[in-house]
Order: sequence, then C-alpha cells, then structure tokens
Amino acid sequence: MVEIRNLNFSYKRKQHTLRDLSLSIPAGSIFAFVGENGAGKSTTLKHIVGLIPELNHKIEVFGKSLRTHRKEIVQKVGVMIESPSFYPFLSGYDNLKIHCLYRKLPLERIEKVTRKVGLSEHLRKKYKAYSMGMKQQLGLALTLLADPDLYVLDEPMNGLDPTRRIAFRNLLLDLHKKGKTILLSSHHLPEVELIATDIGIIKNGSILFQGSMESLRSLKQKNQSLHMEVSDVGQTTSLLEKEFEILLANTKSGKLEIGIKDRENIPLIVQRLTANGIAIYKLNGNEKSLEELFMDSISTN
Amino acid sequence: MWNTIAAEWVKLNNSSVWIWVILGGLGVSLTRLVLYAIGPEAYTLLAQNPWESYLNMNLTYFSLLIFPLVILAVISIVNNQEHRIDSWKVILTLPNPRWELLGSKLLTILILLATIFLLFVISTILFAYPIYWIHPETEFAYFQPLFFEFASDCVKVFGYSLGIVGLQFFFSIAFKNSTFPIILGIAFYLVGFLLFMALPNVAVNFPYSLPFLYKDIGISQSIDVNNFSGMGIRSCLVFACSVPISYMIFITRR
Repeated sequence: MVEIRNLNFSYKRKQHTLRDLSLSIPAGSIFAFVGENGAGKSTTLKHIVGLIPELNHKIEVFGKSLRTHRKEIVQKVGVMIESPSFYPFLSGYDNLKIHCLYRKLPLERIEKVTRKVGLSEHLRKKYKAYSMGMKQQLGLALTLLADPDLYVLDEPMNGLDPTRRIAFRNLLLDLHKKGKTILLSSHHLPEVELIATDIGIIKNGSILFQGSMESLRSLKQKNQSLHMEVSDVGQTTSLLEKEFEILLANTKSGKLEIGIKDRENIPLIVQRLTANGIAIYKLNGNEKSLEELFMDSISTN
Repeated sequence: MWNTIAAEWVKLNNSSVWIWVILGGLGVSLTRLVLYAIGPEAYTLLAQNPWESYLNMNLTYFSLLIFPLVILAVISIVNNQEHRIDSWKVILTLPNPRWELLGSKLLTILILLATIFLLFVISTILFAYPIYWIHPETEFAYFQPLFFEFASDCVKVFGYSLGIVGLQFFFSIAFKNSTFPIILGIAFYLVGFLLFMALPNVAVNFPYSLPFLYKDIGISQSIDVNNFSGMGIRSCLVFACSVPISYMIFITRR
C-alpha cells in the first residue's frame, strides 16, 4: 500500500530528520508508527500525504509514485496530521462543509460521518466550544469524509476519554474489517497493542523495527524476565551464570530477577536448581510489554 | 475552482471581514451624509452641478483614507484564517492543485474589495437624495449625477490600488502571521501619503501612493496627473509580479 525507499530528509542543513528510511505498509493493515517525540514520525507522515514534496520517486502509494500521481493518490487518503486544525468561529458542520466543497463531495456525507464518530448532536455548535475529545472526533470525521482507502492519523487518540477511546478503537477495527489501511502514529502503546496488526519503531529518523505484531509478540516471548525467590541466592547466581545465558540478574534479600532470551530455558533452570538442592519458593514469569520492548529497542540502538 | 472559492466564502461566516466591508463601503458616504445634513451650505457651490463636488470629494476621501487601509485589513483577515490555526497543513493535503488554493484566496479578496467599492458607489449616489430631502437647497434633484465620470474615476482608483493588493497579498503569504504584513502595510501607506504630499514625482513610482494620484485633487503640491502616464500600468505590473512570487513561496510551504 505504502512503500518508502531510502528516504532522507532534513529541515536544516547538517541536521537529518529522516535517515535512509525505508518503510513498507501492507494493504489492509493497521500500522502503528511509534517513536519518541522528534523521532521523525510526523515528518514521515507528512511525506506520505504529500505535505512535504518528495522529488526522487522514493514514495509509492497504491503502487504509484507520489511525485507523479499526487492528485490521484491524495483523493484516496484521509489525513489527520498533528492536532486537528479547524476554524474556531465556524460550526462543526461548516468546517466539514468547507472540505466537502474542496473535494466536491455531497453535503449528505457530513451527517453520515458525524453519526459514525458520534458527533451529530454537536454539529451546529461552534468549534471553539468543543471539548478536546470532540475536536479529535471532528478531526476523525474529516478523515472519513471522502471514504478513503488509506487513513493517515497522527496521534488520533490524544485527548479522548476512555469511552470515546473505545468507540474510536472500534471504529478503526470496523474500517480494518472493510479492508481499509490505517497508518497511525501514537504514544499510547497499550492502545496500539490492542488494535495494530503491524508496527514500525522509529528513532532519530531511522526505522529500528518493522514487522507484524505477531513477529513482535514472538520477540516478546523470547525476551522474558523471571522473578524468583530461592533459598541460596549466591549459589543460584553462580549456577545460572555458568550454565545459562543470563541477561540480567538482580539480587535483593533472597529475591532474584533474571532475564532470559528463550522461554524454553525456564523448565531447564528449575530442573538444574532443584538438582543442586536449591529450594524455589516463588517463580513468576513476566512477558515484556510493548512499552518495555519499545524502551529496550530505543535504548539499545 | 468555483467550489474552492465557495469554500473560502464559508470560511468568512462570522468573520470580522464583514465589518470592514460595511465600514469600508459605507463609511465615507455615511459620514458625508451627516456632514451635509448638518451644514450643506459649506459644501455646495451655487450655480454649479452639486454632484460634481459631492462625488469628487467622496471619492477623494475614500481613496486617501479608506480604501488602502481596507485592503490591508481584508487581505490580512482572509489569509490569516489559515495562519492562525495552522490549517495550511490540512489544506495542502487536499487533492486540489496549489495554484487553485492560492488563486481562490486571491479571487475572494478581489471580489470582497470590488464589493466594498460597489457599496461605496451605490451608497454615495443614493445618500445624495436624503440630503436633498433634508436640504432642498442642495439641488441634487435638479441636476443629473455625473455617472460616467464618477464610474471612470472609480475604476481608476481600483486599478491604481492593485499594486497595494499584490504587495499585501505577497506579505501575508510570506509572513505566517497578520501583524507583520499590517505593520509593513501601514508604514508603506504613511510613506506613500508623505511622498504624495511632498514629492509627487517620486510618488508616481511608489505603489502605495498611486491610488491618491488618480486625479489632481488639489491637496498635493501642484502636479499634473495627466503628465504621469502609465500609473495604472505600473500598478497592474506590481500586482502581476507579486502574485507569481507569492505562488513561488506558497509551493515551497510544508
């Protein structure tokens, strides 16, 4: 759906915002694009929607070069970059009407999309009177207006309360079921984990990880930590260091926290410890959350 | 293109631009109506067509004091709508070509300015009749309004103002706010006024002075405006150059 090949970009000389960035977003996926502030997420999204012109045919959307087929591509893309920008003295309806006129869409679409995002009751209110959540909903309604095939959403869950967040999540899943492709950047990793089918992690303008959530989950299973309470911490530590590949070992008054690379090692560890007369009082396995994996990948790279 | 212009008009709902349209279009004629109503003898010369001095003075006040400032305000309001909320980032992701997006803004501005001018012309002519009803000695009803001369002078003022329109449009695209373009516009307006008063030979080359020079109105040092041919062309040239430069800046916007 979206292919970026070796994209370099800088706002200022000698300051690379994107470095040799390659990204492949599969059609029909919910692709979560995560990274710290200033990592290059918004800049990448701006390239994909043509806000930053790219002259070397390094971006392809729907199998066509964005450089040569911009109009055709952008017609099928719904965009929400950074915070929604609407005219404060106009009603929600008028704000959407402007975009209907720009895109030559029938005005009936407004009612339809606002009903979908749950904003139809507040449509005649002025935008300046909207709450943060309602502003985000209107932004989402705007992206739905043209019924696009690709949604590019930058931090779409900002300011949404839990109810709206769930509704929003369901809406994205509904769009996904209809075969739409969704590219969303987010800081809210637990939320991402719930809906994304694919993920890309970016740091300093380079992609650190890219793949399906399944591949990430298998990586998570490999990267586990174990919390143990044993009878002899010293003996346990030296045994584990000798016989197993220990990633991390913290000892605190009989408690141990060890990192293991493969979950298959857990029964072996237990077996070896009991064989050496070490009593195990407590054993907790702890899978790393997406947040921890994200922190690991950005800190190790 | 018409849809894009229609979108610009929706943006003007509840906008302060309409205050400027009404003030700009009716300000001079309403003030003059009040002044005539208070003391018409001060403004009427007997045995002359009263329309001549009435129309001339209205247009002079309009071109000197109102229209250049209204141009600054209208352009600033129309373009600042996007600067204020940073909606360029939304507009520029639309499938519409950038020339269309910028062109619709420029056309909206020109239509608004033309509306102001039309309001001024209509109100100036219509308000002469209440003056006559209050003070029949003004004799407006006994003379034919000098329509063609007035219309031709109005077209001249509008044409001579196009340079200001072009430059202010450029400033409002180049600077992403309304303050700097307005400050620049007011500064150039004052310089233009001073040049018009003191150095008319220089003023004919300064776009912000050109609307004042549509006619020898006897305020400036003695100049023969008929000797300064091509002022309209100069103004149109400034406009024609400013617009493509604004577009060049606009297409590099991210």
